[in-house]
Amino acid sequence: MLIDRHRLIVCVGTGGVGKTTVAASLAIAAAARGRRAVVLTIDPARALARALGLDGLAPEGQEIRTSRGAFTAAMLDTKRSWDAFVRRHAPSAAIARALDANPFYQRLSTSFAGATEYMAIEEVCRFAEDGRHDLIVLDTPPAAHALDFVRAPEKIDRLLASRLGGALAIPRFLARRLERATGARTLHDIATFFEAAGALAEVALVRARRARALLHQGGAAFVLIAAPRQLVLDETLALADRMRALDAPLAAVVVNRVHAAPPDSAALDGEPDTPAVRWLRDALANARVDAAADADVIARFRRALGPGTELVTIAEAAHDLHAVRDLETLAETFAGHA
Amino acid sequence: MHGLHFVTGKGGVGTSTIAAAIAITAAARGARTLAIELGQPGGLSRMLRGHAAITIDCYEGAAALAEYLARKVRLGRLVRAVTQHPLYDAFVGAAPGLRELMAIGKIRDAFVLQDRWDVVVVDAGASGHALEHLRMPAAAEDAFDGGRVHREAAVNAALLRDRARVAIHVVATPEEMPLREAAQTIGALRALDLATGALFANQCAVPPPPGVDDAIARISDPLVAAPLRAARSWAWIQEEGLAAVERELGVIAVRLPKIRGADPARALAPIVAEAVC
Repeated sequence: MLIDRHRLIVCVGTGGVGKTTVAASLAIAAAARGRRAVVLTIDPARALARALGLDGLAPEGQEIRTSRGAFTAAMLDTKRSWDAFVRRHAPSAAIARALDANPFYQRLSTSFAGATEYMAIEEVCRFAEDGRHDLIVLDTPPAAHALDFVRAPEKIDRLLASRLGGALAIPRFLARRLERATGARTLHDIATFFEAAGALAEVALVRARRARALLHQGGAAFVLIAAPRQLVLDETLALADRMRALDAPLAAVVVNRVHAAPPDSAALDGEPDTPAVRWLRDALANARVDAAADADVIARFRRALGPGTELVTIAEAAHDLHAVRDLETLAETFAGHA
Repeated sequence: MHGLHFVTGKGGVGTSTIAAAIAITAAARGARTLAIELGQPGGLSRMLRGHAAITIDCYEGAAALAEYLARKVRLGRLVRAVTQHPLYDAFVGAAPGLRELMAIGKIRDAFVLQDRWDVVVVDAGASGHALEHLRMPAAAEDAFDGGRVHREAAVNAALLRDRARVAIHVVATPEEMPLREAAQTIGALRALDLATGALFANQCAVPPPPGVDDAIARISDPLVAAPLRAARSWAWIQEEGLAAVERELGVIAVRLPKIRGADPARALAPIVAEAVC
């Protein structure tokens, strides 16, 4: 269902539910089934490299070998992507240089919030076009920003379409107010930026529309990743609603890190009453409470989602996951949902 | 008790719980308390619902920007014409950083300019998202060479550096990745010279006493031994991880126990209060 059919899988979820590890596992599961998969993370917290046990990942991607295949892992580097985009698409070297030297461009491509989503779109298009991959798994940033990526193509489209339509001609009184607000030099920088960027606007517009087509036509699937906690459940259901409103097709819900129920602490009845044994008794009792709470939340979750949505549960591991072989264990869960 | 508190951390570690605990303590001590969520209403609103003494608000960038234009740029009657212009809509939706800048500006407004609140608590959410907000004033101060936006950005940046009035707390659960993310966040806050507050280690287990490994080794039933080995392994990860992060940062983490009951924010409030006051 999940990994055989699609060309783009977008992993969405609130923070801390294990989106990145699930995204990497999906790529590993797909690789094991012979697909040429790439997992691309736009998570600014850089969790993908850590989950793979690496110090860093190149934005153009790096081949990761598993016991049953190989996949590509790539991490978005916003500044490098912007620069590469300008180099690739600027109609002349002079325009590329003008942009590169523009202070407004430099700030935009490094420290402005939101710059990342735009380049994520560019990178998804690039991987979709390079012919070396037939499945892109995209790991999105957590919670509030998770769906910004889905809406970014539309936003760029609107901005550039209104600009190309001539709506950017700012009335003079407004220009004077803006100059007072931003300072004359900055306004000049912004104006030259738009002048140079104008040449790139049509490229960006085509890219944004292609990304939107990728997201909304057939080959894309969204996977919602959740954890068995009431708060996460509420937020995940809200995300599912917002995805429906954005017309994003939900393929499956993955509930990650589910606690299994251990035997009760009567199993330790024959043991002496030492601090160590008391600690173990408490550990068993706590684990039973956690497992019961998880089962309860998952049952409610299933009811709220309805019968139409596939729900996959992943058991809590016995330790942190930070190597390819840890993720391969996780990937086996998805083999049954291929 | 007086101040502006931001709370951030890797997603899912309990930033809303800690923010709620600070707000509950502040209100209980008689402080006029405002609790703010950045973005969509979520965990914090849910946790504080029913606490009559706490005002809850949700700051969303686009709305904050419209408000700002109306009050500060004094567009007056023009504000409607401007905000309903299709270009404005497209620009505010698409312009990087503007919404984040305005959200921080609005927080400063609530805390400094209106004399209504003694304590303002902001659930800034996941660290990536929070850092985008917290670094925006300095970025905009740099990017705009003069004029109103530059001045606004400069006062906001100065406030976020003011340790006497502001504390940015970082939360982690005692696991490798959340702790590493917390260390990186605190590193980033220090590099920006922002007012870093406490490091909270949420959902800690009781450290295992000596002899636990031997006790597990004596258990013959693998169905009992396996979950105990997992519990022991997580406790070990907790102790190692906390020690490493404390060494690296030169701070002592505030340990908060895992609460399995219904209202963790209220249960944790006394410990959190001691750390932030």
